[in-house]
Amino acid sequence: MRSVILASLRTHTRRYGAALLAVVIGAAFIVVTAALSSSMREGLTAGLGEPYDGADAVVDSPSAADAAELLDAAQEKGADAWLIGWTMQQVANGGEVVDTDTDIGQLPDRSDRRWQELVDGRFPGGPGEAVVDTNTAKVSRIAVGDELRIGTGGDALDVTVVGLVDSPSTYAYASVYLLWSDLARWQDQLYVTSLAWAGGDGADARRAIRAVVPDAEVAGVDAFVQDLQTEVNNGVDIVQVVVLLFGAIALVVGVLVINNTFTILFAQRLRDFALLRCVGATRRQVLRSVRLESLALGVLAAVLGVLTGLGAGHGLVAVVRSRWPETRLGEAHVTPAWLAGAATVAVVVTLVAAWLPTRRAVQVSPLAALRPDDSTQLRTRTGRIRLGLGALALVAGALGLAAAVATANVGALAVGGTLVFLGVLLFGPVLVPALIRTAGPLTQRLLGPAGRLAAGNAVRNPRRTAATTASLLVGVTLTTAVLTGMASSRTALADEMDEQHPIDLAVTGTAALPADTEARLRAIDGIVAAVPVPGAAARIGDLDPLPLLPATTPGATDVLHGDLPAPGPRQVLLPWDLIGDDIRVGDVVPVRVGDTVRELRVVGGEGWGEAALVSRPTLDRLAPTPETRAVWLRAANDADPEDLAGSVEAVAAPLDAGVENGLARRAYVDTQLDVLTGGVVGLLAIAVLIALVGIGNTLGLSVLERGREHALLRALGLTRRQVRRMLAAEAVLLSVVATVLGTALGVLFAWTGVRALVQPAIDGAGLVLPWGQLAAIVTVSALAGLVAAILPSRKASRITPAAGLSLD
Amino acid sequence: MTSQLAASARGLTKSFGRGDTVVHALRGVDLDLPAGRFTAIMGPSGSGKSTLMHCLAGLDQPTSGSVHVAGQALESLGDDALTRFRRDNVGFVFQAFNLLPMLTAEQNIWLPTELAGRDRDPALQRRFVAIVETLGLAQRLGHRPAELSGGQQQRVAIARALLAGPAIVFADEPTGNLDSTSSAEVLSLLRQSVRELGQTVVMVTHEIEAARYADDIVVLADGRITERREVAA
Repeated sequence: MRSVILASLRTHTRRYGAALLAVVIGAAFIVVTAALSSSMREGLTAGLGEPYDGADAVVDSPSAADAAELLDAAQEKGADAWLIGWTMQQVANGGEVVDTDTDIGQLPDRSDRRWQELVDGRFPGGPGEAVVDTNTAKVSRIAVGDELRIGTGGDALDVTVVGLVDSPSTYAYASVYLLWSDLARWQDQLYVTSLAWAGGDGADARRAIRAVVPDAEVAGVDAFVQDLQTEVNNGVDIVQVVVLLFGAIALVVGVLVINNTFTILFAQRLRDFALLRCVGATRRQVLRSVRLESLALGVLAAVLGVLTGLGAGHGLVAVVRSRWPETRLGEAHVTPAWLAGAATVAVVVTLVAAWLPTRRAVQVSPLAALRPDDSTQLRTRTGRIRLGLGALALVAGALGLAAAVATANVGALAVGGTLVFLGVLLFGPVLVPALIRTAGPLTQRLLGPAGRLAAGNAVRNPRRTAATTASLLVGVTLTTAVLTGMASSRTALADEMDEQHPIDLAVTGTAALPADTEARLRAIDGIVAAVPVPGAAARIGDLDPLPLLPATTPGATDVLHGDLPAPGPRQVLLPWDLIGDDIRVGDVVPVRVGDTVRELRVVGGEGWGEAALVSRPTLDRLAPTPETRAVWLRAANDADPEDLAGSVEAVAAPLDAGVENGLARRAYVDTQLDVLTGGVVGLLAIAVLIALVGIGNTLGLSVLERGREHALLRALGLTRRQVRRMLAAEAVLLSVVATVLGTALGVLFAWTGVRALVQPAIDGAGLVLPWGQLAAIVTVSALAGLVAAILPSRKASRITPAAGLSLD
Repeated sequence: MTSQLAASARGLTKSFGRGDTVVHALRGVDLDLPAGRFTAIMGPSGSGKSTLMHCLAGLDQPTSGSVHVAGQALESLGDDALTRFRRDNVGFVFQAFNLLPMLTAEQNIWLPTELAGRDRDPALQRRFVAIVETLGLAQRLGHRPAELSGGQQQRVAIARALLAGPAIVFADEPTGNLDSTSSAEVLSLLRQSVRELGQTVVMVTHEIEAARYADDIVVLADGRITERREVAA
């Protein structure tokens, strides 16, 4: 039998090409994932311990106030402390806003504690000087000697860049580093991951720290770094699992494609098998030969996939590292375990996909196999069982989805969705041809006889058609569900953002703003409306003087997206970042304007900038003659948040006025959603790609089968171009029908998803259909169908009528 | 003289392969096929009779020489023009794989008309009805090829070939897969179409029984015409 296996592999390898490609892509995807995650892990964990070099103890995530107190205490006790943490501030370089949210970290005071590595220039000698991370400097074009303005309003700080540094630890890295004397002004907006303490041995340090902050979480340096390492690893593991989930989806599609390929190939080789049986091969021998054949294919695919994945993975990491150093990826190391895993998956997937067709192929009796193959009759026993199972899955799945909507249960959603999808797949041999028949008249009208022949060809073998479309269905359904779900969440989130950031840009000053401020702001390109807000400087409790503004101002609706919170007559609204240990929500504090005082209850809120909000009657009573303290701006819809911030900053900075940039916060959320959507769709694209390989494959194999038919059609008067059109139309019909079905299913899933998951979280969230994107999916898949048809149709149209008719 | 010729070939040669493995299927064939007659091309297998038919029908390009069908020189036509010429002027009946499996008998018969983008005008409709009557297919029009016997399938193929009223109908071993009763039936129908409709029919066969139904017999051996005679009525 060995000679038979070798000979048939030699003869049929080319026909296995597409199936091979499907597995290779799947296996390569796994290896690429391993390469990327290893490089991510390497980048994140490299130098993790360096910021803590020389420390005797580490305080794990202290509050900003505790950290500040510890830094002061260390100095008094002759010890040394430095913190790892950030405050997010706007940074402008020479009046131009570089970034509205830049992470500003601490540079330890003592030079031997500085874990940052100096690359250029020098370290700061005192206040007013900063060092900048080299990657940030490269991306944002910052050089030694530049003057940066950090923050806005009264807290804004002007610094000179005196040096560029490298950060050995991605985890502790910040874009700009300041000495504590400069950084301290933002201590109430500081996020501290850890604080390093050097002085005395471990026990001494612990005691010293506990003396200042009794409930501090103190750890030894080694233990802390080890925990950190584990934490980072777990984070990477989660990312890895999520990405591999998409790999699994791609492999499931791969199984469908290979399964279909084997089914078709075995159908074509039924006569060969029968002949083998006739000349004395036992059923077992034939079975074994076919199994070995699929094993050989799987091994070949595994080798190719692993090699491709290694090349692509290392290449990708190398390109990202050289082009985008700010991503801070490390070297890629794919462990042998990963390679073995990917190879095993490739082999197993191939064997599993070949299992059923193999069984079916050898069950046919030698004589039956010598008769011409009839197309599948749906009223066979298996057909009825299949439809019965399909109906069962549909009903159970629908119940699951209904339960998910009723109980907001994610598990029910997943199970119900999977079951419904399975039901649709099982109904495929009935459903897909029916849809194609519906679309048939259209192709006939567009392409004439070639179109009608295409529609006829597409439904000839219902099971093959269904299997071909099933693979595309998976990818399209998931993509549609993700896009629709994202669009719905985005709309719901946008409403939420309107409430949280009702003002695009708010310029707020403690001193009264000059009369021309509003006009100058309104004149900025990209500003469509500006409203001056009257107010007064107030002292609230022990806080620094703060502008007191009314919650309602005539004309404010022109600039507001949502509604500002409405303070009651005895309430004062304070921004969250001012509320802390000194002043808490619910406290009743004196609010003083000049000599007038009122006792008001503190309520937290945000979205209007560095100011306190009171009701208009309260303001009138406290300040009978208010002056303009703030100008609220509405930006054009297409305005760039960074550019606009720069222009507004140029007006506000000389006035010592702060700028609250709600626009940038919205843009940030938008970008996050875009990145998320893009990432998911990009990962699903692998599955779609494999499915298209499958369509091309089915078509290519069908072309081989129909050689005589095409020759006959050519003899009867079908031109070459018509033959090509006919096959292209068949591919487009298949892909568009799969896409339309997938879109319908995807929207259904998105709807249940929104009902079950988004609505409980965000009130009033409804289904939003991203029509443009959905249309793009259908267009892309139709085009992809055309592309898939290119090779098979070229091959088919090259058959000369005479040659085709003398085919054996 | 030329006006009464349905097809003619001059100095026709056809070679396959090259160098040592070259095979000369046709070695200079001159042939005139008069209109309105039933010609049988005979010869043992490998004599080049199928190749001759393919060249005459414009299904294959000769290596050298010229072919005229219905007054048109085929070698001057490109692939698309040749395809159009075929569907307007030539009908085919093959040994097997004659019909498209997914179309009904009626759809198969209308296929060339449809491919040519021609209207089913009333004259053509009448011709269809007449042909279907003559060939005894009226009860079988809705059936697919798999539901028809071999003889019935060939009758559908003949109906398809005749419907457009081509200048010439080529039949390649039309009875090769049929039992003797069905064979006699198919051959009679071909002869009937020549006698009653004035159709020109050229049949390739290796069976002398089949050739007896023809008016003329051309015998081919080793790529050359060795004999040409009329069948005694």
